[in-house]
Amino acid sequence: MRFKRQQRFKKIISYTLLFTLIIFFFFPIYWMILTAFKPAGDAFAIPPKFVFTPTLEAFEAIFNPEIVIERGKTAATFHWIPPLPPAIWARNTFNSIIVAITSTIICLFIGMLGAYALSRYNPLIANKILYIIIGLRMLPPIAVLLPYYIIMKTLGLVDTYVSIVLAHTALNLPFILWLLWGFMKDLPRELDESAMIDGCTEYGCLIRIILPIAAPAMVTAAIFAFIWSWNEFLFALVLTARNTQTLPVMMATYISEEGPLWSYMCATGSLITLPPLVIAFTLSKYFMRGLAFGAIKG
Amino acid sequence: MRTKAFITLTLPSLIFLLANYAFPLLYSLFISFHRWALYKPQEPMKFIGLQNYITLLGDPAFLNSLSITLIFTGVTVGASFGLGLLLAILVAPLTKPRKWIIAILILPMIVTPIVAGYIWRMLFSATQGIVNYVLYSLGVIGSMTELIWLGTPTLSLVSIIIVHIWQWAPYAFLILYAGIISLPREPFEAAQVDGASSFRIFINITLPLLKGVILVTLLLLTVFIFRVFDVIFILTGGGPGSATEVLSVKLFKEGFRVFEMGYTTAMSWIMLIITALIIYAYIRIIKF
Repeated sequence: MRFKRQQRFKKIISYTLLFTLIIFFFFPIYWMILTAFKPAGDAFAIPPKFVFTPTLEAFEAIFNPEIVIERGKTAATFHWIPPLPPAIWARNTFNSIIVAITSTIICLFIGMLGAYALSRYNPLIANKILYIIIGLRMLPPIAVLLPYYIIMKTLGLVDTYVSIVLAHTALNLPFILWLLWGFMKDLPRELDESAMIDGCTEYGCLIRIILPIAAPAMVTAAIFAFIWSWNEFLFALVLTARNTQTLPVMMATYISEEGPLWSYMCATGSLITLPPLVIAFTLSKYFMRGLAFGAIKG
Repeated sequence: MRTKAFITLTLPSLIFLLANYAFPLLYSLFISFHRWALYKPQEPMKFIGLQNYITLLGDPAFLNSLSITLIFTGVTVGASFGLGLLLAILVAPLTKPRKWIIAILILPMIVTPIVAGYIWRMLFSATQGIVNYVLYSLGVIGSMTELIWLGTPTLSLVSIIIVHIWQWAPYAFLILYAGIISLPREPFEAAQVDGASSFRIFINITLPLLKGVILVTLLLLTVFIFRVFDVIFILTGGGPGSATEVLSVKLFKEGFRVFEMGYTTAMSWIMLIITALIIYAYIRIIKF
């Protein structure tokens, strides 16, 4: 009897603990989404409002400078400077999409070739290259940033798609190589061997035999490359300007010091972070597999 | 596979990585031995040997940044690991809602870091932030503005540590969770039959079996938290003063605000050397 009660007590404690922790991890994102739908006045009310009439006011305003300016005149403090004209939104969204998609495609293509070769060649040599790849994945990107910037500046490539796409590809390639290698090395060698007996070259074998089987791993790799490029800030901050600015940089430059227009900020943030969330959750099967792999093997 | 095919297939990756990593890094090593300030265009680059490194190791601002980085990394890694382990232990025995819990827990990893920085800036706001409101209504603090999270040196460091725990504990959780659910069942069953308490089972069975996974988790967390930039840049920008100026933020400021190139590249090489030591340890452990 006592044992049972003790068990139940333990259960209650562990559930309460788990529940509290989940709230800690979930609340900030929940609060952002909630605030995005609040009327501007409710967004900074104390005590915080959990119940309110949801409105699309903030979403309207972040695309429409006139509304912001009009409200700014009436608000005591106005910190959203300058407002975001729809043209900037459109251009920066386009930039983010172009950069993320191009770098993902290059990454997958180069990574697929490299990973296949590494998984099939003499491991004594292949492993040495893999060690270097792990090292590259872990080194602090900021250490590469300054010389990278000087080189790009010298080549006249700052604020072009070339520099930022190359940077994002380079940042993602080590992980993609590592991920695809991990998948391909587990595919049985007999597949290749039988194809080669039938007269396939290594290249034919990769395209006809390995690639179709590795498709799920390629999807996983694509998800990670895309999300990382979309979220990347540091290189985008330095390498992009007017013409190629991506969304995270836009958010960081257009929102000034601490301001009360939180509903606008949250609306902007929700929109920017929407694509990664949608991709991660619609393709959650692939995403989780990548996390598990990346998690265990780095 | 023939060597020729191996070379052809790996060549694109290798050229790409050499061009984007090896070349900039060597160039940065070269710059680090020179005096070169972009704000003095009339002065050409001048070779000064190890002078930049020597100055750096005697520079109180750099040493301060280094110690902030070490404190920040140490505390964040420790807490993220602890919280991740706790979550893994709590979630592993559950059956039904597991998928949903995992989905919620990985949210902080997917959210754009810049956006996360702004969310937390809102939560930490001294006058209208919900963190202070909760503390105030619980009676922990006497007035709403008693804790200026992002404006006082100690609290701002605490703030960025909390935000990074929020970001990285889920990562630790995932690795440890994957490790725990793949453990063999027999030792646990045997211990239960022998009547061992769950605490003893955890200490004497779970932890030793997880040893490898735990080491990997700690090392990965260390490498990744050591280099963070985005959230700190948005939340405090290294301030107030230099209270949260971790190495990456300091490097950015020196490089792109002060334009002291030789000095900055020397600093980045010290950062690389520290990282290399951690990576070396990591490779020794995984040994694939």
